[in-house]
Amino acid sequence: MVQTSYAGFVSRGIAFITDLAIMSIAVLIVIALANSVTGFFTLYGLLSPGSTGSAIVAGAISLLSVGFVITYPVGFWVLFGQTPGKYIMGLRIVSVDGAPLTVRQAIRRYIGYWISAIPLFLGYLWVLVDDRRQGWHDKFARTYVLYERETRPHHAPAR
Amino acid sequence: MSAYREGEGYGNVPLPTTPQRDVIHAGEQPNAGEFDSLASVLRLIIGSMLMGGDELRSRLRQWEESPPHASPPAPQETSSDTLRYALIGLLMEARWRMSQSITAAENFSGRMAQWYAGSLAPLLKATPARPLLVRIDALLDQGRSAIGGWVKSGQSEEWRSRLLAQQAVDSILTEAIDRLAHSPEIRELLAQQGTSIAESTVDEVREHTVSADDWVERVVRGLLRRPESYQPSRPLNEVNVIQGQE
Repeated sequence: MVQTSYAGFVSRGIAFITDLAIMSIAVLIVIALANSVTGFFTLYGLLSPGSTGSAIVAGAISLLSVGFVITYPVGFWVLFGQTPGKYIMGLRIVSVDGAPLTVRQAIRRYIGYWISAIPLFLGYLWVLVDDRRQGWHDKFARTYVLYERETRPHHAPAR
Repeated sequence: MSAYREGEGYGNVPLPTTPQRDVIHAGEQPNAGEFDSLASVLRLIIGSMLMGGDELRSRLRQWEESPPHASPPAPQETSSDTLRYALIGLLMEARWRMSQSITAAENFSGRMAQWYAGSLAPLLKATPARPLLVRIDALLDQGRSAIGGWVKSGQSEEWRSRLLAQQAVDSILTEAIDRLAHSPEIRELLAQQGTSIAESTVDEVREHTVSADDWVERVVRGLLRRPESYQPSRPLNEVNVIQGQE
Protein backbone atom coordinates (compact mmCIF):
# COMPACT_ATOMS: atom_id res chain seq x y z
CA MET A 1 0.00 0.00 0.00
CA VAL A 2 1.24 3.50 -0.83
CA GLN A 3 2.13 5.33 2.35
CA THR A 4 2.42 8.94 3.37
CA SER A 5 3.56 10.47 6.64
CA TYR A 6 2.98 13.38 8.99
CA ALA A 7 4.12 16.75 7.73
CA GLY A 8 7.02 18.37 9.54
CA PHE A 9 7.74 21.78 11.00
CA VAL A 10 9.49 23.41 8.02
CA SER A 11 6.84 22.49 5.44
CA ARG A 12 4.07 23.59 7.75
CA GLY A 13 5.92 26.79 8.67
CA ILE A 14 6.39 27.76 5.02
CA ALA A 15 2.72 27.01 4.31
CA PHE A 16 1.71 29.14 7.30
CA ILE A 17 3.88 32.08 6.20
CA THR A 18 2.48 31.82 2.66
CA ASP A 19 -1.06 31.97 4.03
CA LEU A 20 -0.16 34.95 6.21
CA ALA A 21 1.21 36.76 3.15
CA ILE A 22 -1.94 36.03 1.15
CA MET A 23 -4.17 37.20 4.01
CA SER A 24 -2.14 40.37 4.54
CA ILE A 25 -2.32 41.30 0.87
CA ALA A 26 -6.07 40.65 0.81
CA VAL A 27 -6.66 42.73 3.95
CA LEU A 28 -4.52 45.55 2.57
CA ILE A 29 -6.58 45.58 -0.63
CA VAL A 30 -9.82 45.68 1.38
CA ILE A 31 -8.55 48.56 3.53
CA ALA A 32 -7.33 50.49 0.49
CA LEU A 33 -10.70 50.07 -1.23
CA ALA A 34 -12.57 51.09 1.92
CA ASN A 35 -10.36 54.15 2.29
CA SER A 36 -11.09 55.13 -1.30
CA VAL A 37 -14.82 54.81 -0.71
CA THR A 38 -14.77 56.79 2.57
CA GLY A 39 -12.50 59.35 0.93
CA PHE A 40 -15.06 59.76 -1.84
CA PHE A 41 -17.90 60.37 0.63
CA THR A 42 -15.74 62.68 2.79
CA LEU A 43 -15.20 64.74 -0.30
CA TYR A 44 -18.93 65.26 -0.64
CA GLY A 45 -19.29 66.18 3.06
CA LEU A 46 -21.24 63.04 3.94
CA LEU A 47 -18.55 61.67 6.27
CA SER A 48 -16.56 64.31 8.07
CA PRO A 49 -13.31 63.10 9.67
CA GLY A 50 -13.82 62.25 13.36
CA SER A 51 -17.61 61.98 13.04
CA THR A 52 -19.72 59.02 14.17
CA GLY A 53 -20.22 57.97 10.58
CA SER A 54 -16.48 57.73 10.02
CA ALA A 55 -16.06 55.71 13.24
CA ILE A 56 -18.77 53.30 12.08
CA VAL A 57 -17.09 52.86 8.71
CA ALA A 58 -13.70 52.28 10.38
CA GLY A 59 -15.28 49.74 12.74
CA ALA A 60 -16.95 47.99 9.81
CA ILE A 61 -13.64 47.75 7.99
CA SER A 62 -11.95 46.31 11.08
CA LEU A 63 -14.74 43.77 11.55
CA LEU A 64 -14.53 42.83 7.89
CA SER A 65 -10.77 42.30 8.19
CA VAL A 66 -11.12 40.22 11.36
CA GLY A 67 -13.89 38.20 9.77
CA PHE A 68 -11.72 37.55 6.74
CA VAL A 69 -8.74 36.48 8.84
CA ILE A 70 -10.98 33.95 10.64
CA THR A 71 -12.99 32.68 7.69
CA TYR A 72 -10.00 32.30 5.39
CA PRO A 73 -8.38 29.35 7.21
CA VAL A 74 -11.59 27.86 8.61
CA GLY A 75 -13.35 28.01 5.26
CA PHE A 76 -10.45 26.49 3.34
CA TRP A 77 -9.94 23.71 5.93
CA VAL A 78 -13.58 22.68 5.81
CA LEU A 79 -14.14 23.06 2.08
CA PHE A 80 -10.83 21.84 0.68
CA GLY A 81 -8.91 20.31 3.58
CA GLN A 82 -6.07 22.72 2.88
CA THR A 83 -5.36 26.43 2.61
CA PRO A 84 -3.62 27.85 -0.49
CA GLY A 85 -0.30 27.80 1.40
CA LYS A 86 -0.73 24.15 2.33
CA TYR A 87 -1.78 23.38 -1.25
CA ILE A 88 1.47 24.86 -2.54
CA MET A 89 3.47 22.83 -0.03
CA GLY A 90 1.46 19.67 -0.76
CA LEU A 91 -0.05 19.28 2.69
CA ARG A 92 -3.52 18.28 3.81
CA ILE A 93 -5.33 18.39 7.15
CA VAL A 94 -7.43 15.40 8.13
CA SER A 95 -9.22 14.24 11.27
CA VAL A 96 -7.48 11.57 13.28
CA ASP A 97 -9.91 9.05 11.74
CA GLY A 98 -8.99 10.23 8.20
CA ALA A 99 -12.25 12.08 7.58
CA PRO A 100 -12.42 15.68 6.37
CA LEU A 101 -12.58 18.40 9.00
CA THR A 102 -15.97 19.46 10.33
CA VAL A 103 -16.78 23.13 10.95
CA ARG A 104 -16.55 22.49 14.71
CA GLN A 105 -13.10 20.91 14.31
CA ALA A 106 -11.95 23.76 12.09
CA ILE A 107 -13.08 26.38 14.64
CA ARG A 108 -11.40 24.42 17.45
CA ARG A 109 -8.22 24.29 15.40
CA TYR A 110 -8.36 28.02 14.80
CA ILE A 111 -8.80 28.71 18.53
CA GLY A 112 -5.95 26.26 19.05
CA TYR A 113 -3.74 28.45 16.89
CA TRP A 114 -4.07 31.27 19.43
CA ILE A 115 -3.59 28.93 22.37
CA SER A 116 -0.43 27.54 20.73
CA ALA A 117 0.87 31.08 20.17
CA ILE A 118 0.37 32.40 23.73
CA PRO A 119 3.29 30.59 25.48
CA LEU A 120 5.92 31.94 23.07
CA PHE A 121 4.65 29.75 20.22
CA LEU A 122 5.46 26.62 22.18
CA GLY A 123 2.33 24.97 20.79
CA TYR A 124 3.70 25.29 17.28
CA LEU A 125 7.18 24.15 18.26
CA TRP A 126 5.59 21.03 19.72
CA VAL A 127 5.47 19.69 16.16
CA LEU A 128 9.24 19.16 16.43
CA VAL A 129 9.06 16.77 19.35
CA ASP A 130 5.73 15.07 18.86
CA ASP A 131 5.78 11.55 17.44
CA ARG A 132 2.86 12.35 15.14
CA ARG A 133 4.13 15.86 14.47
CA GLN A 134 1.02 17.39 16.02
CA GLY A 135 0.97 20.93 17.40
CA TRP A 136 -1.24 21.82 20.33
CA HIS A 137 -3.91 23.06 17.92
CA ASP A 138 -3.85 19.66 16.18
CA LYS A 139 -4.26 17.86 19.47
CA PHE A 140 -7.02 20.25 20.53
CA ALA A 141 -8.95 19.71 17.27
CA ARG A 142 -7.92 16.02 16.90
CA THR A 143 -6.33 16.54 13.47
CA TYR A 144 -3.22 15.50 11.60
CA VAL A 145 -1.34 17.31 8.84
CA LEU A 146 -0.15 14.87 6.18
CA TYR A 147 1.97 15.07 3.06
CA GLU A 148 -0.26 14.69 0.01
CA ARG A 149 2.18 12.42 -1.80
CA GLU A 150 4.02 9.20 -1.14
CA THR A 151 6.63 9.53 1.58
CA ARG A 152 8.44 7.08 3.79
CA PRO A 153 9.10 7.45 7.49
CA HIS A 154 12.71 8.53 7.79
CA HIS A 155 13.31 7.45 11.33
CA ALA A 156 13.90 3.93 12.44
CA PRO A 157 11.92 2.71 15.43
CA ALA A 158 13.64 3.76 18.64
CA ARG A 159 14.20 0.49 20.45
CA MET B 1 47.17 69.66 -84.15
CA SER B 2 43.97 70.76 -82.47
CA ALA B 3 43.07 69.29 -79.14
CA TYR B 4 40.02 67.19 -78.67
CA ARG B 5 37.15 69.09 -77.03
CA GLU B 6 34.11 67.39 -75.74
CA GLY B 7 31.08 67.92 -77.93
CA GLU B 8 33.13 69.47 -80.66
CA GLY B 9 35.63 66.83 -81.68
CA TYR B 10 38.96 67.65 -83.22
CA GLY B 11 39.28 71.00 -84.92
CA ASN B 12 36.40 71.76 -87.25
CA VAL B 13 35.44 68.17 -88.04
CA PRO B 14 31.87 67.81 -86.82
CA LEU B 15 30.95 64.94 -84.62
CA PRO B 16 28.57 62.43 -86.10
CA THR B 17 25.17 62.62 -84.50
CA THR B 18 24.65 59.77 -82.07
CA PRO B 19 21.26 58.11 -81.95
CA GLN B 20 19.44 58.86 -78.67
CA ARG B 21 19.29 55.82 -76.44
CA ASP B 22 16.61 55.21 -73.91
CA VAL B 23 18.75 55.23 -70.80
CA ILE B 24 16.76 54.69 -67.63
CA HIS B 25 17.97 57.24 -65.15
CA ALA B 26 17.90 56.93 -61.38
CA GLY B 27 14.39 56.86 -60.01
CA GLU B 28 12.82 56.87 -63.45
CA GLN B 29 10.64 54.07 -64.65
CA PRO B 30 9.29 53.48 -68.14
CA ASN B 31 5.76 53.39 -66.77
CA ALA B 32 5.90 54.58 -63.19
CA GLY B 33 2.17 54.08 -62.61
CA GLU B 34 2.11 50.40 -63.56
CA PHE B 35 3.26 47.57 -61.37
CA ASP B 36 6.00 45.61 -63.05
CA SER B 37 6.10 42.21 -61.39
CA LEU B 38 9.22 41.09 -63.26
CA ALA B 39 11.13 44.18 -62.13
CA SER B 40 9.95 43.63 -58.55
CA VAL B 41 10.99 39.98 -58.56
CA LEU B 42 14.34 40.98 -60.02
CA ARG B 43 14.77 43.64 -57.34
CA LEU B 44 13.82 41.13 -54.66
CA ILE B 45 16.39 38.64 -55.96
CA ILE B 46 19.10 41.29 -56.19
CA GLY B 47 18.26 42.69 -52.77
CA SER B 48 18.26 39.24 -51.20
CA MET B 49 21.60 38.43 -52.79
CA LEU B 50 23.11 41.71 -51.60
CA MET B 51 21.75 41.28 -48.08
CA GLY B 52 22.78 37.65 -47.97
CA GLY B 53 26.24 38.52 -49.25
CA ASP B 54 26.67 41.26 -46.65
CA GLU B 55 25.51 38.97 -43.89
CA LEU B 56 27.75 36.12 -45.04
CA ARG B 57 30.75 38.45 -45.28
CA SER B 58 30.10 39.84 -41.81
CA ARG B 59 29.72 36.34 -40.35
CA LEU B 60 32.84 35.11 -42.07
CA ARG B 61 34.80 38.06 -40.70
CA GLN B 62 33.48 37.35 -37.21
CA TRP B 63 34.37 33.66 -37.43
CA GLU B 64 37.82 34.41 -38.77
CA GLU B 65 38.49 37.00 -36.08
CA SER B 66 37.29 34.81 -33.21
CA PRO B 67 40.20 33.08 -31.50
CA PRO B 68 40.62 29.40 -32.35
CA HIS B 69 39.28 27.17 -29.57
CA ALA B 70 40.99 24.00 -30.64
CA SER B 71 44.70 23.51 -31.20
CA PRO B 72 45.88 21.89 -34.45
CA PRO B 73 45.61 18.10 -34.44
CA ALA B 74 48.48 15.95 -33.24
CA PRO B 75 51.00 14.84 -35.86
CA GLN B 76 49.73 11.24 -35.72
CA GLU B 77 47.71 10.88 -38.89
CA THR B 78 46.65 8.28 -41.39
CA SER B 79 47.34 8.37 -45.12
CA SER B 80 43.81 9.57 -45.85
CA ASP B 81 44.35 12.42 -43.40
CA THR B 82 47.56 13.36 -45.19
CA LEU B 83 45.80 13.31 -48.56
CA ARG B 84 43.00 15.48 -47.20
CA TYR B 85 45.46 17.99 -45.72
CA ALA B 86 47.37 18.06 -49.00
CA LEU B 87 44.19 18.76 -50.99
CA ILE B 88 43.15 21.53 -48.62
CA GLY B 89 46.65 23.01 -48.78
CA LEU B 90 46.63 22.79 -52.57
CA LEU B 91 43.26 24.50 -52.75
CA MET B 92 44.40 27.36 -50.56
CA GLU B 93 47.68 27.65 -52.45
CA ALA B 94 45.80 27.67 -55.78
CA ARG B 95 43.54 30.47 -54.55
CA TRP B 96 46.56 32.52 -53.48
CA ARG B 97 48.42 31.86 -56.74
CA MET B 98 45.34 32.73 -58.78
CA SER B 99 44.95 36.07 -57.05
CA GLN B 100 48.67 36.74 -57.57
CA SER B 101 48.35 35.82 -61.24
CA ILE B 102 45.37 38.10 -61.70
CA THR B 103 47.27 41.00 -60.17
CA ALA B 104 50.28 40.26 -62.38
CA ALA B 105 48.04 40.00 -65.46
CA GLU B 106 46.42 43.33 -64.63
CA ASN B 107 49.82 45.01 -64.30
CA PHE B 108 51.02 43.44 -67.53
CA SER B 109 47.93 44.47 -69.49
CA GLY B 110 48.24 48.01 -68.14
CA ARG B 111 51.85 48.21 -69.19
CA MET B 112 51.03 46.77 -72.62
CA ALA B 113 48.24 49.30 -73.12
CA GLN B 114 50.62 52.10 -72.26
CA TRP B 115 53.21 50.75 -74.66
CA TYR B 116 50.67 50.40 -77.48
CA ALA B 117 49.30 53.87 -76.88
CA GLY B 118 52.82 55.30 -76.98
CA SER B 119 53.69 53.39 -80.14
CA LEU B 120 50.48 54.18 -82.01
CA ALA B 121 50.21 57.84 -80.97
CA PRO B 122 52.20 59.27 -83.93
CA LEU B 123 50.23 57.12 -86.35
CA LEU B 124 46.87 58.15 -84.92
CA LYS B 125 47.83 61.81 -84.86
CA ALA B 126 48.45 61.69 -88.60
CA THR B 127 45.82 63.60 -90.59
CA PRO B 128 44.50 60.63 -92.65
CA ALA B 129 43.62 58.77 -89.47
CA ARG B 130 41.65 61.70 -88.02
CA PRO B 131 38.15 60.67 -89.19
CA LEU B 132 38.73 57.21 -87.79
CA LEU B 133 39.85 58.71 -84.50
CA VAL B 134 36.77 60.92 -84.39
CA ARG B 135 34.51 57.94 -84.96
CA ILE B 136 36.25 55.98 -82.19
CA ASP B 137 35.86 58.93 -79.83
CA ALA B 138 32.16 59.15 -80.67
CA LEU B 139 31.73 55.47 -79.92
CA LEU B 140 33.63 55.89 -76.66
CA ASP B 141 31.39 58.79 -75.74
CA GLN B 142 28.34 56.73 -76.49
CA GLY B 143 29.70 53.87 -74.36
CA ARG B 144 30.60 56.22 -71.50
CA SER B 145 27.15 57.74 -71.58
CA ALA B 146 25.51 54.32 -71.52
CA ILE B 147 27.71 53.11 -68.70
CA GLY B 148 27.03 56.33 -66.77
CA GLY B 149 23.32 55.70 -67.13
CA TRP B 150 23.68 52.13 -65.97
CA VAL B 151 25.72 53.22 -62.95
CA LYS B 152 23.13 55.81 -62.00
CA SER B 153 20.29 53.38 -62.52
CA GLY B 154 22.22 50.64 -60.67
CA GLN B 155 22.78 52.89 -57.66
CA SER B 156 19.10 53.63 -57.42
CA GLU B 157 18.09 50.04 -58.11
CA GLU B 158 20.47 48.67 -55.51
CA TRP B 159 18.95 50.90 -52.89
CA ARG B 160 15.44 49.93 -53.96
CA SER B 161 16.34 46.24 -54.08
CA ARG B 162 17.83 46.33 -50.59
CA LEU B 163 14.78 48.17 -49.31
CA LEU B 164 12.43 45.68 -50.94
CA ALA B 165 14.37 42.67 -49.61
CA GLN B 166 14.49 44.22 -46.11
CA GLN B 167 10.76 44.87 -46.25
CA ALA B 168 10.13 41.32 -47.45
CA VAL B 169 12.26 39.84 -44.65
CA ASP B 170 10.65 42.05 -42.00
CA SER B 171 7.18 41.32 -43.26
CA ILE B 172 7.79 37.56 -43.44
CA LEU B 173 9.34 37.54 -39.97
CA THR B 174 6.51 39.59 -38.47
CA GLU B 175 3.94 37.40 -40.15
CA ALA B 176 5.69 34.21 -39.01
CA ILE B 177 5.96 35.44 -35.42
CA ASP B 178 2.35 36.59 -35.50
CA ARG B 179 1.26 33.24 -36.87
CA LEU B 180 3.27 31.39 -34.22
CA ALA B 181 1.92 33.61 -31.46
CA HIS B 182 -1.66 32.99 -32.56
CA SER B 183 -1.24 29.33 -33.33
CA PRO B 184 -3.28 27.34 -30.78
CA GLU B 185 -0.78 24.44 -30.92
CA ILE B 186 2.18 26.69 -30.09
CA ARG B 187 0.26 28.46 -27.34
CA GLU B 188 -0.75 25.14 -25.87
CA LEU B 189 2.84 23.95 -26.05
CA LEU B 190 4.11 27.10 -24.33
CA ALA B 191 1.43 26.87 -21.66
CA GLN B 192 2.25 23.21 -21.07
CA GLN B 193 5.92 24.01 -20.82
CA GLY B 194 5.27 26.86 -18.39
CA THR B 195 3.01 24.69 -16.27
CA SER B 196 5.44 21.81 -16.24
CA ILE B 197 8.30 24.14 -15.21
CA ALA B 198 6.19 25.58 -12.39
CA GLU B 199 5.12 22.10 -11.32
CA SER B 200 8.65 20.76 -11.31
CA THR B 201 9.85 23.81 -9.32
CA VAL B 202 7.13 23.34 -6.72
CA ASP B 203 7.88 19.61 -6.55
CA GLU B 204 11.53 20.36 -5.98
CA VAL B 205 10.71 22.83 -3.19
CA ARG B 206 8.45 20.23 -1.59
CA GLU B 207 11.15 17.57 -1.76
CA HIS B 208 13.65 19.92 -0.11
CA THR B 209 11.24 20.89 2.65
CA VAL B 210 10.52 17.24 3.44
CA SER B 211 14.26 16.72 3.94
CA ALA B 212 14.43 19.96 5.96
CA ASP B 213 11.56 18.74 8.14
CA ASP B 214 13.51 15.63 9.10
CA TRP B 215 16.80 17.45 9.54
CA VAL B 216 15.37 20.17 11.83
CA GLU B 217 13.52 17.59 13.86
CA ARG B 218 16.65 15.49 14.25
CA VAL B 219 18.66 18.53 15.41
CA VAL B 220 16.03 19.61 17.93
CA ARG B 221 15.63 16.09 19.28
CA GLY B 222 19.40 15.82 19.54
CA LEU B 223 19.56 19.06 21.53
CA LEU B 224 16.79 17.92 23.83
CA ARG B 225 18.31 14.44 24.06
CA ARG B 226 15.06 12.89 23.01
CA PRO B 227 15.13 9.65 21.07
CA GLU B 228 14.41 9.88 17.38
CA SER B 229 10.74 9.32 16.80
CA TYR B 230 9.18 6.57 14.81
CA GLN B 231 6.54 8.17 12.68
CA PRO B 232 3.87 5.69 11.86
CA SER B 233 2.96 6.33 8.25
CA ARG B 234 -0.58 6.55 7.05
CA PRO B 235 -2.02 5.13 3.88
CA LEU B 236 -1.98 7.67 1.08
CA ASN B 237 -5.37 6.55 -0.16
CA GLU B 238 -6.77 8.04 3.05
CA VAL B 239 -5.76 11.43 1.71
CA ASN B 240 -6.85 10.55 -1.80
CA VAL B 241 -10.24 9.42 -0.58
CA ILE B 242 -10.70 12.79 1.07
CA GLN B 243 -9.64 14.50 -2.13
CA GLY B 244 -12.13 12.40 -4.08
CA GLN B 245 -14.93 13.49 -1.83
CA GLU B 246 -14.52 17.12 -2.80
